[in-house]
Amino acid sequence: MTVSALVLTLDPEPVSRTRVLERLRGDARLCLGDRVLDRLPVVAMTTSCAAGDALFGELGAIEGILKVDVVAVDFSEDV
Amino acid sequence: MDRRDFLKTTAMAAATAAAYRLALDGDSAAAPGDGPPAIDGVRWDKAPCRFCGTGCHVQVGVRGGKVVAIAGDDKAEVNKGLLCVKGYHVGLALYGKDRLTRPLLRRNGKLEPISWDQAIEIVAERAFGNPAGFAIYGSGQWTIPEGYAANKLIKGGLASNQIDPNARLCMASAVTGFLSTYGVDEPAGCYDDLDRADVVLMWGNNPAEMHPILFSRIIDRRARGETVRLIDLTTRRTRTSGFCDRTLIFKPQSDLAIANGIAHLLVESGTYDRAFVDQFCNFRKRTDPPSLQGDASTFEEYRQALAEYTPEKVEDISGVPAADLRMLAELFGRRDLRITSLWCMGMNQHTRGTAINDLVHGIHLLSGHFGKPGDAPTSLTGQPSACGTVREVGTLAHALPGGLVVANPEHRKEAEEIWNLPAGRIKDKPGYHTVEMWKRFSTAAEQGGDIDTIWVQVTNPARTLPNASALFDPSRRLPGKFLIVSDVYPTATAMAADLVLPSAMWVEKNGVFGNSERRTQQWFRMVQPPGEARDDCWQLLAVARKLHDKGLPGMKDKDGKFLFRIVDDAGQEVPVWDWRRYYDVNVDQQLFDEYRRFTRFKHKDLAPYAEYVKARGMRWPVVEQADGTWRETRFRFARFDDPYATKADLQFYHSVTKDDRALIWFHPYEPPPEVPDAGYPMWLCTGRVLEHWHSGTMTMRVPQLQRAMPQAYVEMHRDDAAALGVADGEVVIVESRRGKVEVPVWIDGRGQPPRGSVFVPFFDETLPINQVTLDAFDPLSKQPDYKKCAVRVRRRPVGTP
Repeated sequence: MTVSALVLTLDPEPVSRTRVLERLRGDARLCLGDRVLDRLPVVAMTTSCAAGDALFGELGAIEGILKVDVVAVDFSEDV
Repeated sequence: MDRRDFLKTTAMAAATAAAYRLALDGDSAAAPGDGPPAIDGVRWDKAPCRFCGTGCHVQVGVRGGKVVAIAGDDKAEVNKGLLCVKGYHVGLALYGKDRLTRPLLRRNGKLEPISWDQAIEIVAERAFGNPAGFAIYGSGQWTIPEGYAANKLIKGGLASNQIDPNARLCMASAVTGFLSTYGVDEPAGCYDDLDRADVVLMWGNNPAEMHPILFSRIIDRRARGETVRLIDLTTRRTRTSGFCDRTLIFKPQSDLAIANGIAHLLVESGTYDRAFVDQFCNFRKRTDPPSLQGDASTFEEYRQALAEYTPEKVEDISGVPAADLRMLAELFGRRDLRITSLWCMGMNQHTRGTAINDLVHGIHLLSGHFGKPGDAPTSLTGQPSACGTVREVGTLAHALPGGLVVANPEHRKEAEEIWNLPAGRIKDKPGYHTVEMWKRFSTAAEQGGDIDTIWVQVTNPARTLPNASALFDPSRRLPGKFLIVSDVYPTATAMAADLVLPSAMWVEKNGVFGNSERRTQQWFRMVQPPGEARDDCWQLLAVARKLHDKGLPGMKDKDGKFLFRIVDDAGQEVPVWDWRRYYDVNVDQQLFDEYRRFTRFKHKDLAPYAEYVKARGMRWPVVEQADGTWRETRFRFARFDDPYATKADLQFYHSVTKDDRALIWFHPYEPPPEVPDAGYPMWLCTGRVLEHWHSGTMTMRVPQLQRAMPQAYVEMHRDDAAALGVADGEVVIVESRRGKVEVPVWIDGRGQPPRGSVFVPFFDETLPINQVTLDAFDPLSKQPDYKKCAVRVRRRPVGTP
């Protein structure tokens, strides 16, 4: 299992933001934190580092997510 | 709470703290949490990232003797707790399956294991037998102590000056540009400029991929509602272009004409900053042959020289519309804006690299966009210690530490005093620059090939030298030529070597790097290297000691003591050449504190090593305060921040003209040495990609990065591909007069070259594009041009598998 700490920058437009948050809440791999203005802290738990990378790409492609920043990665089970 | 919940909780704390910092413009006081996630059994320590020149700090999590986690360092000003895709995989770069673990000697064409004693004896024997023909080819990835030891070994010990680094290939033109403009190397500004600029102008660089954390810093300002205008001057659309307000595509080499065109408009419209120019600048024109000093010139001569660079003529040369040139000049003509220029390899890997560096500095000086936070001409580097180890330690063939040069008798005297050498030990003649060094290594001795041994550390010249089939390959067939390679993986260079030395990497050893903004950064060893791999610095010191024991006089100082005398707290010499004793003392600390004595000459003052242990790096000059603390400098030459600028608001205290003024140069546009023609009708540009670093020897061994970008390709315009009759993904031959490579076509890919141009990245060792590139170089910096040469692209013959 790989645990990644991420920060998502959300589109400030309210409808878009609501839609994005609904989608993220429905993703079992993600645990959402408390939003700070347009920034949303997220913990991603994936089966491997590779799956974490794939998720990183998926999040970046979601309309309404302007940017994905990585804060920390635990890849202890990959080494 | 189980482990999973614990991990989740601590990761959320780290993410929340970062979200606060990002949302509130770095106001960490408002952010909850402190430090990296607390993961059971994981011990964290700081280190700069191993990859690019940005100098992000990471927190490295170690458990059971292995690096198991990486976090952005929330105390680091550079990256404010964030990481890029390479950064968060940096720990995995240690754990490729094919680490080199034993010294290997080529016997009967095969590399066979030998002992370290044998290996050190062989290296020493090569140097002892012909010191003048023994060269070291180093790297901007060397740590500062490693580069310092290599420099001292060659210049103070072997007295030959035959040392040059791979950074010659990436930023030598930035060095000559700074020297010719300000009389001293390295940027005046720093990354803080990116937080203050109203306009960021990128001259042929692609920070969204090459320096993503810096670029992210700019984009974050926009996300917070700030207005930052981004302008991309480029020869092809890149990921950076997608974020920019304007992307101006110019023809290769024509950046010189664009810069002159902007200066012409500033002068003719009267919007240049006359008061700034009158107070702080002199004018300069070039000499024949060119020099860094040039000849004195006047404003009127400068104006006349620029006269022909009308917007219309520049449009004709560059392809950039006259209206856009006027827009650029209008921006520089405004005093209410702050403008930062960024550049990297696009301007440096250029046969007129020094000239274009001078011209961009000149625009900033002419328009007064200099010396205030946000107003800065700033070059970025590609390697983590190109500034620290190459430019500051002086591992270039003409240089000595601290900005001194071998050609200056006073500088040699200073160095001989610090190194306690007999007078005259250091030679006045520079060694060979990179292209010349390898040319001579690839030339038979009887034909002038007077370099017979090269010891390569921390770089991969078989894949990164331009025109490699001429500069590198012949040496492997010539008798008497001996190649030694210290590396961590079996790179193409290592596999072509006669002797391979397995090295420790990154947090497997102590280290100090110096990043693009003059920031010196220290770290400690955290894990053991695999097998028999050992520190590069130890390898250098062990060879030096072997030479000492063989009786080579240069390995002793004038008191008869070993050149690298390392002592314990009681002042007793520690035999650090014995690997078992190497970590009995902190060798890095002793070498660094000795090197530090050089840094005062050019006001590049460093603090004692111990200060860097406490900090996330400090930007030089670092000067001790009355209370005993050490203060860094963000804005050089500016009286409000630089302790050495005391006479005026701006003081260029190493001025070429000795009057505290910077120089505004005129250089004409000149065409490149090779242009497309009927036989080779397309431009080739080469470079890097987001996922990989340099020749991919580390990042291609990280499975996630390898999968994300598995092989090189040729980016091609859709219409060019159609004209050639090739489809996306089809393998084609990219060929110059020097060599060829077969790569798949990528149409409308990440980068989009204009018609008539192609781009091939150099990260893929199996598809060596540098067999194709040109080895023509700038006459002053000696830096080759990897950004433009003429190629043809053709389909493979029918039936090719």
